[in-house]
Amino acid sequence: MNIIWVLAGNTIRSMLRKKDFYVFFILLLLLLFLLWSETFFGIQDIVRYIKDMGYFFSCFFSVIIAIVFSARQVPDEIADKTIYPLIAKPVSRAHLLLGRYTGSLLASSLAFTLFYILYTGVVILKAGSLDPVVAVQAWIFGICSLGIVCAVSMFLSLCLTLSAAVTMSFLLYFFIMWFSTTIRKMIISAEGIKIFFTNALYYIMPHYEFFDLRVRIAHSWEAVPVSIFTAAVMYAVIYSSMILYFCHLRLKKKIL
Amino acid sequence: MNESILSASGMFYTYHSSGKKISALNGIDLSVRKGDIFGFIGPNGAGKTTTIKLLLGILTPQKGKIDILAGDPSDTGTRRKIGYMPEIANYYRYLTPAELLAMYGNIFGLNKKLLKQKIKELLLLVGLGKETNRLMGTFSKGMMQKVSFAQALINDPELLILDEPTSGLDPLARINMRDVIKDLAGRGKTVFFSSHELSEIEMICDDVAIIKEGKILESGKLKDIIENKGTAMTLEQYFLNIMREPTEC
Repeated sequence: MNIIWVLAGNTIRSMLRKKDFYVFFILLLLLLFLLWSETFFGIQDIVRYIKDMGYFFSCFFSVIIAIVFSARQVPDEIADKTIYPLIAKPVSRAHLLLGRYTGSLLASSLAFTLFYILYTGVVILKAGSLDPVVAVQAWIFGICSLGIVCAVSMFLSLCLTLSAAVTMSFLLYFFIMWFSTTIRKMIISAEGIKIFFTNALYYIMPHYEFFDLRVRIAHSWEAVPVSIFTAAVMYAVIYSSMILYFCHLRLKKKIL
Repeated sequence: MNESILSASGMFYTYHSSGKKISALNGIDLSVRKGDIFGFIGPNGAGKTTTIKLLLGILTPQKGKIDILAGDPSDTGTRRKIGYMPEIANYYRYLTPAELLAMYGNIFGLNKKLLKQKIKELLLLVGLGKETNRLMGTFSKGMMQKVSFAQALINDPELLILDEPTSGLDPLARINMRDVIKDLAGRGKTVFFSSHELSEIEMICDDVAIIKEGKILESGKLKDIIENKGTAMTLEQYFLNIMREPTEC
């Protein structure tokens, strides 16, 4: 366990020493400042707009960090040959994978948390309040979603080239976020053999949309019921663990 | 006679690349005694690095057996007692050497207070005492090589495996490294030294093995090997002679 934390700490340090995180933080700050200005695009319901767009960008920037970071972990380690002195020590490939995954998840969660604090601060300043239960649920869901994003991009990085893995991870994320309703409709209207394929596709794909509370926050709807909230968190844990297991099988067979 | 700390018998390894089979090792036998400095020499592509990867458990032999420090190299417990300096010294450029050594020290679960002291000592030993807090992204090849040597010693290993350790080092640093290696051997540590630098091998090694095309051509006491043909010659002369002879199929 200690080894996993050491490797995770190293991953977080690499995020803090590289520029990406700071660039996104400043970008979000600028965006929120622009949204905060009441005359921006002449929109009347600016509070709802800030809630909607601010949350979207907090998640979006964290997902970029999560994908780019987690997809780079193992391929960079192999390409830079830093993997050899590491696995020549009492570090198994499973340690390496879990350490790098934990690090990527913690680093992107840390970025998301900072973005989220900035976002809630602006929303509270402008709207006066934000339902604390929904706010906490949205934060936890954001981290759950990042857990799946990191696992999926790490898996893709072990199967494809780095650039292909990053591109595929982005495509998958946005495809699911935007077309999940369409896919659900396809399943309902499917007939014959199509039922099997559409169902298989539905259950295999990572359901990022489960964790999107944008509409609920923007329209100040009530919190997600506890049972559904717990089920969604469990889904994130089980799905990420399954993908990590596939990553382990893949890395175990890789000739270094 | 010292006990054997590393023994490998009948090691075979073949790489598969684009449907082609590339035979890297063809039944290698090795034996290294405790406290010895063992030189492992051979031309490029002879199988030196593959042998080292097998000894470290990075690769698994397709045939043959390896016994290292009375254990299996794939066992993390065995690797706790090994120090490894890779051929290409490339480390995390966003870390300082002190942070890198602290990270590796933490992997071994070393005590924090002792680790801090150890890092200071090691960086002084390799001549990087003044560069402790400088990011490694700004280091030259030679400086990286020194960091690489320091990290190999972080766990006070019983067996030190060095792959081309002197490449990129200036003459002073080479002498320093040679002295450290001799000192380690004097303290009962075993050193497995793979190199192209035949003069280095000749200066510090007790035993050598010469590898060519995945086969060990000669193995034994350095002195016995270079004197076995009646006329004493340098290791370089002997190596050139043996390399020019056709390999048995």
